[in-house]
Amino acid sequence: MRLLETSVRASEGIAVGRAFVVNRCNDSQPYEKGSLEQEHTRFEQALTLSHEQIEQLATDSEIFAAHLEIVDDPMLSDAVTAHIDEGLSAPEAVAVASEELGAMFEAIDDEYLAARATDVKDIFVRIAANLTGGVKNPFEGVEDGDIIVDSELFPSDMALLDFAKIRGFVTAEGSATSHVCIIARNLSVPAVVGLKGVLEQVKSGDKLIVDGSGGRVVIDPDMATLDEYKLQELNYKALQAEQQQSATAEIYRNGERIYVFANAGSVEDVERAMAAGADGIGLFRSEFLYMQSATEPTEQQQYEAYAAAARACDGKPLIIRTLDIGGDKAVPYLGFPKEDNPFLGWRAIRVSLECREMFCRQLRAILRASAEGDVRVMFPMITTLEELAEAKCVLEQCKAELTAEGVAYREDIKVGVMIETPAAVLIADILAANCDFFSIGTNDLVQYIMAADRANAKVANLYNPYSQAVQRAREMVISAADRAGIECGMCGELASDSQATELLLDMHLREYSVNIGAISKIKYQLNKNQNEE
Amino acid sequence: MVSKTIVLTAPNGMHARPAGELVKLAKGLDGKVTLATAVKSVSAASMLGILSLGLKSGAEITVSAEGGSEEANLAAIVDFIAAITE
Repeated sequence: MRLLETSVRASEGIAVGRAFVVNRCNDSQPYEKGSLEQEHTRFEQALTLSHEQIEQLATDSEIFAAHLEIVDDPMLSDAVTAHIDEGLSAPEAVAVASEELGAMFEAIDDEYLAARATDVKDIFVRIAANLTGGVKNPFEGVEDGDIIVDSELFPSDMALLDFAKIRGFVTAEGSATSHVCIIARNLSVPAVVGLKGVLEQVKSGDKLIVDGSGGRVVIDPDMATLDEYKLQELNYKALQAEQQQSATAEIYRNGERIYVFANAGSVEDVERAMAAGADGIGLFRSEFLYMQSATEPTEQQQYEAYAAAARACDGKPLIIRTLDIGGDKAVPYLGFPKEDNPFLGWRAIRVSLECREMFCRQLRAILRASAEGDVRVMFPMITTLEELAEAKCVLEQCKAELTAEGVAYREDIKVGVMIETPAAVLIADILAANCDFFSIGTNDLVQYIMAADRANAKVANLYNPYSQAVQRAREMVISAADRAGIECGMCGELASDSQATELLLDMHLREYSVNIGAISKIKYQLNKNQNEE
Repeated sequence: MVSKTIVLTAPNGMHARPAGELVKLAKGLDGKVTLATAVKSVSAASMLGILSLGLKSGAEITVSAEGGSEEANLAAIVDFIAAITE
């Protein structure tokens, strides 16, 4: 029994089956290089043949319609003929050109276009196959219950695969945004991608366990492991079926709509959350934009990410939290000073209000994206009314700029406060009169109220979201919101805990912003309570 | 040769589908049309070329037409790019 693991989360679920290792090489005789002229002719013939094959496939597929343009592209044939002229054989020239054009696309600073590298490689694979003995269906011989194992799956493979037979996918290359992941998630087939070394470890016919939820593949499992996973698979399927029924449901309590939002840390998260049935995004962490590069993201880059997230929400609310960083998650270009107490230091809104120009760039990007959907803005770590007033003042200034520039935005964009400090709890009524919504951030709130660090084992027992002081804080915040007639939600771990759902419902909490994996679970729990009433 | 510089307003940038239609249009013209950014210049009849520009919404593109009915060719491509809404 061997275990391979990756941190990439491709497609959830557990499958047990036989490995089908895809062989894309032709088993024909080795390629014999001819004269320069012959190599050119062979390439031209292979290109014509590829064009004809794709033309047939293109009649009922948009993917192949785009491929047809690529195979006819002068840039493609120019790249290959140039390498043949340098003395390479036709298949070698095709391989080199494929690498070059693929790399050119991968370098594009746009996730969608970078992913087109796969389409380009896909076409080169076809041309190469036509040069060396013809295209064969690499999935011939796939049987019911097989798990597909390959280095990488291509868009054109999707037309050749018989999904009814396939239990799971494992690939050595790829990321969570690869084509195969999107397909696998849509079909609820477990997949593990980016599993380096899998092709060296697995051969066709090996018994495999694919644990898409844990990013694990077990090769030749022993009986005990097999039994354990089979049980997990059954439980997962039963629960999934039950929860799926709740996922898209609209939930009401005493005639009031209860919303289950999701927490998201990237545009892909938003897409996943929407696919999982979220009623909106209750917490869009903007930090990812700031942490992933060596310099501050431009207004345009931020706008593109926020607008893409807003479009993915398709009219449902998208609450964007402004930058929430501090000494514990510093970014190099901001030059954070070393602090003895980063959690009581220069962080979140305190940073934004001081780095005013950076704050403006973020607010302008959020405002511009608000033209694309129900975008709302939320300020983290508010402790005084002055901070909120100043942040709102900067927002108004940005609105005035955009109006002057003739740029579209949502004029009545909702402004919210994240309630995560004891100070905010104590002045909740004052804050409520000055904003449109609250979101209770339970993780930091528990830590600040209880003065206990959850990572410190000696005091971890005090870090208790159910302790009386924290309960009372929640009641104060929710009732202050109710009295002011504004919405109040909760993001943070407690909202995702189905054991807390009943308690929170009793407190009149109507918005739960949960981890993506918990959407159907919490909806199921809310639905169950609704039905028991 | 005639040219015009425009800003791409398509919300999703120049993606595969509009790029494919643009290529078809360019191939049907009686002269050469190129698209250029600050970085490089490509034929409007090359799908790979257009996609490799990585044109995002808001990008500046200089469209140039050479040969044939230059003015009409330029207008056809410029109008097409301005009308991309997806």
